[in-house]
Amino acid sequence: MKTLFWGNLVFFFFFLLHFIVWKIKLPARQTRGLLLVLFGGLAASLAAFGLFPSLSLLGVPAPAGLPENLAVALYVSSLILAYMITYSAIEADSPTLVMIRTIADAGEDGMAKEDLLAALNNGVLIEPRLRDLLTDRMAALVGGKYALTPKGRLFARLFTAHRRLLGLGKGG
Amino acid sequence: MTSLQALAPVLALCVNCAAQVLLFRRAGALLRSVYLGFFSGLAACALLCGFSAELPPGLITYGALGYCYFHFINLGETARRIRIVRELSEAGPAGLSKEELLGRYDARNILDARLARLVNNAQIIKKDGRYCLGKPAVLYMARALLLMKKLLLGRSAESL
Repeated sequence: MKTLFWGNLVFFFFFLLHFIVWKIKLPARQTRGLLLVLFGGLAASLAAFGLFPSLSLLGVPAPAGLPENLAVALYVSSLILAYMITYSAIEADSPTLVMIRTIADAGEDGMAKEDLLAALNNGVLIEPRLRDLLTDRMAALVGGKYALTPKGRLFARLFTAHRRLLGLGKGG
Repeated sequence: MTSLQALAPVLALCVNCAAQVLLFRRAGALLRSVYLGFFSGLAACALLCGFSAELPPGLITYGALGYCYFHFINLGETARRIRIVRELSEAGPAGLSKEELLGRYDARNILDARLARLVNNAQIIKKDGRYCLGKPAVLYMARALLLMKKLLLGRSAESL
């Protein structure tokens, strides 16, 4: 009960704060902004539980002791991570979903592949992702060439290792 | 509450990942291995939490972590950004120019892979060389995300 009550309260309070901040001004680095607001909010809440052990709301006492605080931290963190993953599909247009919408809008006559390719070209599908890599400092543009930064290399290693474990190819 | 109950969702996620990898390496069906892995973890989470007040939050936490793992696999399979990062990683410290990158991975590759997947899953139908909408499930998902984009970002497309 405590985990559900305080976990939901913390998550939805800082989710609402993120919504308000986004309405006022959209951060240039949205993922970083989300991390700051949501995980910063969680850290502040856990600190408040530690500093005010007698805290209680609607008859539900604040989490006390390591296991209860750990359970709330994991509960909120899992919701934040799930939201952040979903947010990436809101922030960037998914080619699959754009294709489905475009084909649906074409009606019963449907669409030829070349028409789809004209709408979804390199400028729409590749260039925004290259810009994201620069904005998120995963790659740097040096002498007209895109090269990975240490953060980008770490990211590449993580996915390469997992896909090698599964015996899968490059994907994409 | 015990520390084991608090950590149950994380331990269950480890069970999920291990089961998914083993099942995929043995049988080779990706989506099936994801489902079976998820349910293995779910059972482990229920066993570790026990039938107590800690079970509902434990299962929700595990469900959210399982959702993240599913998307992690999906990102490796379909995300353009991951594919670009892997191409740049293979190119080494010298990197790639935009033209060199497009020689390895471009809009046509992206479109071909997705059209094949959508036709295989009957989400779209190929009729006389033209693509028409099939099962509408993905269209509903696309519209829900479009609504969230308008609500949160105040726009309907990335480039607008």
